Amino acid sequence: MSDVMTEAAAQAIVERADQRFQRSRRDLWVSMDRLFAALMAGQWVFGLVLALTVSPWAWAGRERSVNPHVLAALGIGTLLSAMPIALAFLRPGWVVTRHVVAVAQMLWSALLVHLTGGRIETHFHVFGSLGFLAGYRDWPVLVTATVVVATEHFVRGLVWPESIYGIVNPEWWRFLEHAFWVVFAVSFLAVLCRRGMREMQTLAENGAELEALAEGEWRKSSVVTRAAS
Amino acid sequence: MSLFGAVAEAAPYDSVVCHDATGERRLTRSQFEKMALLDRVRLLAGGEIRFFMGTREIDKSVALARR
Repeated sequence: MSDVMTEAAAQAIVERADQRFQRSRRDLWVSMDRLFAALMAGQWVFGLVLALTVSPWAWAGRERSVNPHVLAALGIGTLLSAMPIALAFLRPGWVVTRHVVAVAQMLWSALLVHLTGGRIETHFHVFGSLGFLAGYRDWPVLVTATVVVATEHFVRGLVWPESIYGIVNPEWWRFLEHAFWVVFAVSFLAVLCRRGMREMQTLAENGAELEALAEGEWRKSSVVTRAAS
Repeated sequence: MSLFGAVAEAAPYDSVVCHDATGERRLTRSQFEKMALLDRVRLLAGGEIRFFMGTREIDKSVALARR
């Protein structure tokens, strides 16, 4: 059996495995981009419903009119959703698209928390979103989300604490407590992301091994056939 | 067993014997799986590899399919 032929076949098999891995990774990112586009649209509707129903009660005594919240949900919500939706359809699978999605998703959490008057339960949206973002299996996306949510909590905690914690005078370090729990979740999700990506690569490599085995067997049988004839 | 190693433990072979330019070598499953993919593929495409569980030889397709 020619070593040159074996080497050429081996190179081709490894190349195909790499292509399979790249393709399945890209397919995952594209489908996640599309899923988030749908989520962004859903959140936009949900934000409007919250602004029309919950906000007037959550902010009773402070804001007499429902209009500012409806405008916030409509204006800011449109801004937050428009960019990731556009990118999901124009540049699906692009690295920037999923980081924009992460930024928008965390800012959606911020908007929803504001619309519910800093209700602590609405902060669960952050953790749900981190779980969704982990679906990309790309841990830097989680880092982007963490930086955005920590920065947003810090800044809004200084400027308008009531809109994020529901109280007027929280401790200055309250954002660190929230950030800690985000880091707690993200540290484990990042491990799962890396593991998930590694499994995709292992699948592609297993395919290459089976292909190489078939190649080897075919060559061996060809030699036997030629020797017998 | 590593923290996430439960699935890998189920592989049906624990060593491989391969022939290459340096002669015959016996590798543990872990050593084999840590080889670069191109090296593994070269051995498999060249037909110069056998899989073992203890002293019992395992069919190649069975060994690879159950990983």
